[in-house]
Amino acid sequence: MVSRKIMVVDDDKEFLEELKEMLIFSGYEVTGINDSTIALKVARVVKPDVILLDLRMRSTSGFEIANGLKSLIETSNIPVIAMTGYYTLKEHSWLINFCGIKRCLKKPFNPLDIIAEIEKVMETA
Amino acid sequence: MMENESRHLEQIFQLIPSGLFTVDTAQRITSWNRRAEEVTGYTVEEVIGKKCTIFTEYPCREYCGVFSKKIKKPITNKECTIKRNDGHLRIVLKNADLIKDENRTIIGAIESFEDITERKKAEAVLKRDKATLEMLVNKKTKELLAAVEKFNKVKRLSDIGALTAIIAHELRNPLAAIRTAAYNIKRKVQNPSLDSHLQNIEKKVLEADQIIDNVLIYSRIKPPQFEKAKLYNLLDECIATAKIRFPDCRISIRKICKTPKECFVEADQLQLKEVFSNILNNAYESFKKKKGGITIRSWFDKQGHFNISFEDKGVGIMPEDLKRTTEPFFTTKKNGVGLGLAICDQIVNLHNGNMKIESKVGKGTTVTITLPVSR
Ligand SMILES: Nc1ncnc2c1ncn2[C@@H]1O[C@H](COP(=O)(O)OP(=O)(O)O)[C@@H](O)[C@H]1O
Ligand SMILES: [Mg+2]
Repeated sequence: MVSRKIMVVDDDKEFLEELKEMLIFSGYEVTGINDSTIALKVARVVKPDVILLDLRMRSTSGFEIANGLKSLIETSNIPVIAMTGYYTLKEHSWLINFCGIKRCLKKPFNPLDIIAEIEKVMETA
Repeated sequence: MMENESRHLEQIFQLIPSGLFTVDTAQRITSWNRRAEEVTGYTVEEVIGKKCTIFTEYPCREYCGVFSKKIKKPITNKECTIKRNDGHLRIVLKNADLIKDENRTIIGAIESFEDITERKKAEAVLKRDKATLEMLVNKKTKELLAAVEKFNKVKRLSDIGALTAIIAHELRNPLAAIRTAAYNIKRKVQNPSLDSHLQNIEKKVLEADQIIDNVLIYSRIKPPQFEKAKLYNLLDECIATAKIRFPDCRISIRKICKTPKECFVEADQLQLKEVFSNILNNAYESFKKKKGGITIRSWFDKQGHFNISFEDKGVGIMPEDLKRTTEPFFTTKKNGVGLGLAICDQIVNLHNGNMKIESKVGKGTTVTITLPVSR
């Protein structure tokens, strides 16, 4: 089985490190991006199977990135899972849906939950 | 000369704007001026030679001070009541003194009086108005103070609202990193002697997350989105959640509902869920031995308002703590946040409702929520 490519975008460096490590340990191939301004460019090159995206970041926000991904043919089919401590799925559902985000996980999530989510979106993709 | 003087005196006697009369030592009236006629309705002819008790009432009838040795003369500004010849009572203010001859023997008395009935009436009205006014001012002052207090509270809330929302959210990022790091350590090291420590980290992360949730709910309470809320469904959901939340508690829940199953209240469903859940949580936590019973009652009161009460037979609340329970961050629990009842209070107020907490230490606590059925 080819390993799945995951791209993680988060401006929290330590979190990114730990999540990357965890995903690699779980058998994924992982690209971590700390600087959200380059996320779109990298996504076009790497063409990941799933993108894990922090929504609230200091420079380019997750919403902007998700919107950008949606508008490019090469990336518009990549499922996006948002990770956020800030927005709630209930209150911001329209915003999240609007940007084509499939799923949303609330920080601090159980690492096992993110794996379950990844598998779920790839099944339906 | 004598005659002149006497005529002069007679003129004064008749013109003076007070009732004026004299009596002999047997209290028989010997003179009676025009103003006396006006005030009493009795003419000179009717009273001369009669005892003055014919028109006096309390207290002069029982006890005339003029001839009493105990009373200092002259008597001034004494209030008493008289009865007119048409039967009407009038209040008069009188002065009186003894009349003595050149040998200082008492030969009679002189009394002047003024009708002050109207003045008394006006005074009474004024007094009543003053009392009413004072009461009104007091009431308004109290209302004003209450409003100021409420304003300060709201202001405090909005201050902590904005700031805490930001801080609370930001805390979730480091928590996420800690939780994932703990997970990675566990998987990498595979050392059972570390497990309990890693479990503690996980547990505390979740606790911190719970605190953030509470703070956020509190800081984010918004005007309710009113809809027709079926309270029974809401309540059942909350009861189910509480049971899951406290798996090691053996608590029986009894519902005594005097309101129809299908009844609804115009309210924000999510917010009411928050209220019921918080009250239930507290009730569950009130049982030291993790077992007991909670009774939930509902009824419509005389005003037609919906009432729901949650009664537990738990530890109860000390009298000095009772009024502080709705204060933000007031808690007596080791792991408490102290926002539960503050949230309830806020939400219930936003619904124009009322929350009452009654409690006796060692006996239990009853929290009653009153909500208007429609806005
Ligand atoms: N049902 C109850 N029985 C006993 N004490 C209660 C009850 N409900 C509230 N209290 C008291 O009120 C305090 C504040 O309650 P709350 O605002 O829900 O915060 P918390 O539950 O986090 O302490 C509690 O710490 C407790 O002392
Ligand atoms: Mg509580």
